[in-house]
Parts: sequence; structure tokens; C-alpha cells
Amino acid sequence: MLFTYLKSITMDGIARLVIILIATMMITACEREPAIEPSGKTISIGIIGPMSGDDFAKGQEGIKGIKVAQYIQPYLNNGDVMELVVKDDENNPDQTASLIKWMAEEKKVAAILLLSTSASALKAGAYADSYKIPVLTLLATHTDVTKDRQYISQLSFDNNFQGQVAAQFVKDDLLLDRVAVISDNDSFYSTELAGEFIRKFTAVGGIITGSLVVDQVSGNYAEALEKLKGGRTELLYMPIKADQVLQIIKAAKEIKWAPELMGGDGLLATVLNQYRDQVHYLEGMYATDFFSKHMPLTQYGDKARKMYESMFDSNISTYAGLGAEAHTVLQTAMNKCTAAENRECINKNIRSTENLTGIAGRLAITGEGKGVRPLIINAIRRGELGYVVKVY
Amino acid sequence: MASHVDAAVFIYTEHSQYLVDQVLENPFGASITPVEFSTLSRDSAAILEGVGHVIVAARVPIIKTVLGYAQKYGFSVGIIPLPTQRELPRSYDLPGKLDEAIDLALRDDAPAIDLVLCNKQIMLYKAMMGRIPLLDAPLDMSRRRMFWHGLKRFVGLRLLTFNISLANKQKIRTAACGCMIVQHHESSMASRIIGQDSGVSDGMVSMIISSPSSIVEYVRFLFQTLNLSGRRKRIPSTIGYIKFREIDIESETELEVTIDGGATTMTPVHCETLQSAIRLNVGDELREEIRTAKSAKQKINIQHLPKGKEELQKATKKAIPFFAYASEERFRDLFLALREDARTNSMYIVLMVLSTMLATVGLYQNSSAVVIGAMLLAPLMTPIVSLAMGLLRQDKGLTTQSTVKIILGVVVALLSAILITQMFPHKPLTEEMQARLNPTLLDLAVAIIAGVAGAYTKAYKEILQSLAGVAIAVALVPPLAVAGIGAGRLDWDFFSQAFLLFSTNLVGIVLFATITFRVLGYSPAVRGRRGIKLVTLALVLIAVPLYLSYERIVEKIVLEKSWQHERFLVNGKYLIVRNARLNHYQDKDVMTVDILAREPLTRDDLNQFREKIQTNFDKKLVIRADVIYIP
Repeated sequence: MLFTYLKSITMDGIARLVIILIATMMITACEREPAIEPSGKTISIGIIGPMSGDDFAKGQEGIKGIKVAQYIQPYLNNGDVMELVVKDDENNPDQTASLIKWMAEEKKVAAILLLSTSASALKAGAYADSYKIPVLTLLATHTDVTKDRQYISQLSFDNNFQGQVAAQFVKDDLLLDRVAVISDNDSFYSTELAGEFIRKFTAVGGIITGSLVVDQVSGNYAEALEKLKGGRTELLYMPIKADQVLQIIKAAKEIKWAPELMGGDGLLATVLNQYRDQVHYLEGMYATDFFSKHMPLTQYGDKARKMYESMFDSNISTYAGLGAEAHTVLQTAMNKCTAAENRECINKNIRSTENLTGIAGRLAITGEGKGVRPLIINAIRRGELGYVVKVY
Repeated sequence: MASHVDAAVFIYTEHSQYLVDQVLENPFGASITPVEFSTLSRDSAAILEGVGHVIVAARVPIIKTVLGYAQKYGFSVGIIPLPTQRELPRSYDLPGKLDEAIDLALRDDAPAIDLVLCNKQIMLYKAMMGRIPLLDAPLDMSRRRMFWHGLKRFVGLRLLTFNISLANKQKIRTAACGCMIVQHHESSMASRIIGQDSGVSDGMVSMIISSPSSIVEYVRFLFQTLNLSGRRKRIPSTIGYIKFREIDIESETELEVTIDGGATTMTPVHCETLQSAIRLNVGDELREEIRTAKSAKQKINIQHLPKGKEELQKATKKAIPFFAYASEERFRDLFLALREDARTNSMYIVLMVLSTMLATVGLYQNSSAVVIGAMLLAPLMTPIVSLAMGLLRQDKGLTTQSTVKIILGVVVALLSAILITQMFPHKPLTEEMQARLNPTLLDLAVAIIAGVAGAYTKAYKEILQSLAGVAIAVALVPPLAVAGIGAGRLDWDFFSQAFLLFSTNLVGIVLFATITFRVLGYSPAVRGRRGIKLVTLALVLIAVPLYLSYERIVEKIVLEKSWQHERFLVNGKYLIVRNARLNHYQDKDVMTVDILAREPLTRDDLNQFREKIQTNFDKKLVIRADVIYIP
């Protein structure tokens, strides 16, 4: 009976069957999400960050990333539009504080995305709590940013995580035992990160050959570096600003010393955006980071990267990636609220973000406002940002 | 220095009258008597009797008449070719320049050459019947024109039955689209095909038979012809070649026979050669060829031509098929070998038992070398190739025998693996086993290529040793051994996944070996499609689960590659991932991660590690970690 049936099937019949199967697979693969109907209502969102001054790249790139995310998903689920109110704080904590007050009282924004660094974020926390306005910091990694605060949350990992990873990466991946740490006493970020690095590195058996504080040597780095060199230092860990790193490296070159180098988050992005012409000084330098263009990105990350490239005709930066992610976190939180502008609800939902797909992986924000996300270690290779490892 | 005749008769026509003065004033002092051909034809005996040498400058039919007189009256002949004649000078190596042609024509040492007669008509260089594309193409044709010429001439080509009788009473019945009789013909592709085998004084008639049995064969011949720069040593497979004293050709339907592009006769045609019948002044090269010629042998090279009732019926039934057909008679050795391969014997059973036992132990040992050894030992590939041929040719005996042999081999292998499994109380899941538990479309691709390679190597004795490589590539016994291990452990999922891999290999090889044999021209004249349909359907059915698992392997590859860069920080402890493997087992995705750690890991650390991995996956994972501590 089977043979009789088979005899009746022609090769055309089999070909038709295969075509139907392929067509079905293609149709199911091309399913689209239903479009959102615009409601005509706008909800104001505040953006505060350094749009000018030494750290302008953080603000300007962050805004670009936010715009990319807005382009990908322009509406909330209820059809409302998020209107951006952008203000420049020049990365000055006092200006940050006054802008939060102004946005909360005058502009009645539903939430604020803060593109400034830890110093501003530490000050912003009190104002956020005072005006009960949710603030999501993108770049602030200081562990105290969210300490005893209710309304400020971090999208980034904190210095505790970052310092521990850096220390153990140097010890166990780079297999280096002797490290000197260079920090900046004027920066909460720098001192905290340097301290965490030293603590962990020594705990795992590493030797700190020396410490250098950039503001104490008033530009005479060569002499201080000679001492570190003499102490058989294999790596310089420098959680300091980009211009300071460049000065140190140039001084090391003067004394014909080329140790391994490692920096903190945002360093390589700043150099690539603000000091492109001097990037060769950092060749081979490692740094903790949030993304790498060359690492496997998520589907969302790939989409954001392509969108950024088509909108701005350049490679997506770390700050832009964080901007896009921050907008998505906020949008997701607002979508969960019945009234999208309800600050209390938004804050609660930001602090219960779970399994959200970011650019480079899943991210979450704990009930205490701490960001949980993979850390990327990048290195400058042939003048570009190269991907080294990803740490969960 | 060549000597010349003292006197000669110069026969001319209105086309060559302009040569009379030059011939009369020849520098060799020969006394020339010019005679117009019309005068000669009125009373040839009076003019030619007793004449020692004749020069002729005329069209080919008149030259043939003069050669007829030469045979009758015994004079030697010199030919002055007309400017419009191309094939004649090439065939007899006659010079193109007039003074050189007169010089040659007047020489007194004309060698004796044969005269070929087809139905009593003199043939100087070629006689054609039917259609013989490409062989009749002029040598000076460009490759591009030759290609289009070959394609155009192929349209509507059909094979006809020809009965060929030779002088020794041998009879050949074959199918061809046309035949060509050649006599030292230097102007067409035919001359290149047979090379210098056709002489002017060997007492033989040379015959080329064109029989493209399929479009594939014809296209191959077309490209061979285009690339033919010199003379060939081997005759192409679409060509037959006979060299004999006398040849009688009879065609299925009456065909016109064109002799030297002009005169015609009809089939049946009788071609004979009158050895050394005339003396003709030929060029120096041909003269040397005649002088050094060895005694010619009769030749019959027709092994590629259709023969036997079955093949002839198929060949002449309709237009030339895309792929060739073949009778069993033609590839007797191959079919004998395949039938032998399909027969079950005790050696096969013993080898199956040994190879499966070896594979099973190798799988338990996780030893690739032992598993490869088992693959080499396994005798399963040969009955599978026999089955492919059996299905193609609808040979019930071959199909049944090979199927029984395969089934028996599978049962023996499973039982052997079950037995070994019962002997080992522990149940490891080694990498070698895991590798055979996730068949995908890529495995089907391996089986397909192996099927093609298996049939190809079997078809050509020269590369038969490569079959061992094919057996390793496709690895039939290890999946069977894994399936047997699964059966021994009463683990249905284990069994089914491994058996799916084996089935994939089996079906892929059978189908594509069948197709390969078909392309290579081993299809029977009377073919059936039922077997191929059955295998195709099986392939489609097997492709569904394989397609579904293909996505899994892509995910696996991406993960395994990307996880070379992954690190974890759990409770302040830094874990370096050295390797990660994702396998599907019993409806679960099992991720095995090799990690380096400096500090001792507690249960809480490992739980956090697992949670961190799980966070980044949508589906539930079973996570296993191999920890290596850094001192």
C-alpha cells in the first residue's frame, strides 16, 4: 500500500511540499509586532549632563544614544511620547543639583536621566529624594551613589565590582603580580576605585609596588615613574581622567618605560571621542568598560548600533550605548505604570528592572538601585577599541 | 633532389585552363600534352593508354574520375589543387603555391596509395551518413563558433540503429546519430580524434561512429573537443572507431551518404579499400609517413557504444536523455563487485561485531583514535552503495540482498553495543558520545557528500581505496554504537538521537549515491522511480528534525565561540571560562563549563555562578562546571 501511494507521488509533488514548508518557515520568521497608535500626549523627561566643558563627550554622546532609542521605539505602550528636556551641568555637582530642582519643580518632568559622573550623582541623590523624582545615572559608578537613597538608581556597575574585576583580571588573566596604582585625590570615583583595586589585588596575592597621586606631583611624573619602574612594576592601574592618563604615558615614554596599562570605565571612550589624535599613546592599554563594538551584541544592541551608524555616520560609543539603554530602562518602567508620568511608580519599576536586554547582554537594577550588568574589558588595538573579555 | 617525369598529360577543365601555359612551361623540362576533360571523357582509352603520368587540375569529381582511369591504365597521377580546394590539399599534403604544386605533380616517384570505394564510388577523404555534430567541424573554426556549432547541431539529435558488418563476418549492432568513413582526412575534428591512425596505404577503411548517449556525455565531449589542442590518445566515450578492410553499414532507416562533400549514395553502404591501387604524388610528409608505415592492424573500439537489446531499445526510443543509461553487461565488473558486496557472509557479521565493540569501548574511553579505528573496520559502506545501485536499477535481487545485509548489520551492531553496555556498570556521558547525540542538517550535508563520494569511488576502480576515507567521514558505526548504548541503558532519548544520526547518514548516502550513479550513467535502460521516491521521502522526513536541530547547533557554535571571552565574579571570586559546551540531552540543554578559579568555590558561589549564566539565557539550562584551581 505504501508503495502504491509512493508511486502516485511525483517529483513535482515532493517539490511542492518542500516549497510549502519553506514558505511557512519564512512567514513565521517574519512576524512583526503590532504598531502603537500615538495618543497625542507628551511626557517630559529630563536629561542632565556635561554638554560642554572637559567632559562634553559624555553628555553629547549620551544624548545621541537616547535619540537612537527614541527612534527605535518612539512611543510608550499607551501611545504617549517622551519629550526630552536637555540641560548642561558641565559635570558640576552644584549645577546638577540646581537643575534637578528646576526640572522637578518647573518642568514637572516624570524622571531624569543623569549623564554626569559620580561627584554629581552623589549630590543628585539627596535632591532626587527631596523632590521624589526618579533619577537614573548612566555613568556614576561610586558605590555610595545609591546608599540610603530612595530615588536615585545606577545603570552602570559600581566601583566595587569594577575594582575587583580589574584586580583579578590583572592577576589571573594577564598573570601580572606587581602593580602600581595612580589615582586622583580630587575624584571620589578615582580614590574609591583605586582603593578597591588595591584591596582585592593584594588579597589575591598581588604586590602593589607603589601609589602615585596625580595632584601631588604637579606635573613631574617622570621622576615618580622612575621609582615605580625601579620597583619592577609590571602594570600601571590608572582610574583617572583621560588627560591625566595621557600625561603619565608620555612621561613613561620619556624614561623609555612601557609597562602594561589599565584604566577605569569611560577612559577609552573619552580618549576615542576627545583625544582621537593621541590614541596611539594608549595602544595596548586595557580598561573596564560597558561595550565593545567588536563583541557579540544582543539583537537590540545590533539594531541600536546600526541605527546609530546610519543616524550619525560614526561608530557607536560607550556613552551612546548607555544612553540608549537608559532610555529603554526608563521607557520599560513607564510602560508598567497606569499613569506613565507617575514618579513613584516609575521609580519603583526602575528599581525592579530585571532581565532587560541591553546592548551587550541582560541587565537589571536591584531594589537598592544598584545596576547589575556585565562588565567588558576592552583594549586599544591598532587605534580602535578591541574586545578582550566579558565579566558577569 | 627529386627527379621529374619526362612527359605527362595535363588534364584541365574550364576552371583550370589558366594553368595550361604554366604547366607547359614547367622548369623541369617535362613534355606536357594538355587535354581538356571533355575531350578525355569522349575517348579516354585513346588518350590514356600507354601514358606514364597524368597531371590533373580540376574539381574533386573529375579528379576521382582521373584516379579511376589511373587504376585502370596504371599511370601515376599528380594533382595541382585549385585555390578553392581546401580539404584535398590537406588530406594529401599538397602545396598551396602553384610552382611548388607543379613541381610535386611532375615528380616521377609517386608512391602507391589505397583507393577507398563506397558503393563503388571513389572516396578521397570522407564519407558521412546521419548527423555527426562536432566531428565534421573544420579544424580552423574558432572555439566560440565551435561551441555554438556543437550546441546547435545537438538540437533534435536522435540515435538510430546501425548494423555494421566487417570483413571477418563480425556483426555489430549499435545505436548512433551518424557515422563517418575517413581516409587520411586532415581537415576536421575527426582527424584529431583518431590521430594518425588512418593512413593512405594501410589497406584499411577507418570508420568513426558518433553516439552521444546523454546530454551530459555530449556536453563533456563538446568541452573535450574545445580543449583538443593536439591528437588524442584515448577515444572519447561518445565515439566508436572501427578500422577494417571492408565495412558494410546498414541503418534502421535509409540514410543519404555524402562522399567528399559532393556525390551521394544511400545506405546500406559497402566500403572497401583497394590496397596500393594507384600511384599519387603526395607531399613529402605524407610520403615519409607512407615509407615508414608499419603493417596496420584491424581495430574495433566500440566499448562505449550502446549495445544489447535493452540499451538499443532505450537509445533509439526517443530523444537523447539528460543522463546516460547502461546495461549491466556494459559494466559487468562493477555489477559483479556490487552483487558480491550485497551478499551477507560470516566475515561481514564478525567485522560488524568487532567494529561495534571497538567503537563502544572507544566511546566509553572517550578516545577518538579508537572510534576512528572502528570506523575503518566497519563494513557497512559497501552494502549501502550496493543498495543505492539496486534502487537505481530497480534490481530486486540487489536491493533485497543489500537491505537484508544492512538490517542485519544494524541489528548485530545494536546487540553488540547493548552487550558491552551491560558489561559496564557505570554510565558515563563522554564527549565522543555527546557528539553523536545532536544530529543536524550539517550531518545530512556530510552524508550527502559522502554518498556522492562513495558512489564515485566505487564507480572507478582506480580510486577505490578512497572508500575508507568516505567511511571515516560519514562514520556509520559510532552512531549505531551510541544508539546501542542508549538501548542498553534503556534510555530512549539517547537511542533515538543517535539512531537519527545513523538514519541521516544511511538515507543521505543511499539517495545521493543513487543520484551519483544516475549522473555517471549507470541507470538502467528501463528505469523505475519507486525506489528513489521512497528514499527521497525518507530524506524529507529526516530533514524535519534535523532542520529543527540546526538552529540549536548554530546557537551552540555561537555560544561555544563567544564563551572563550567570558568571566564571572561571584562573591568576589573571579572565574575564568576556558571552554563551554552546549549539548541537548533528554529534552534538556546541558551546558558544561570548564573554569579556572583561584579561591575555593562554595555551594553558594556555584549557585550564583549558575544564576548568572541562566540570567543570560531564555531557556532553562542544566549547568555543569569543571573547576581547575589556580595555585
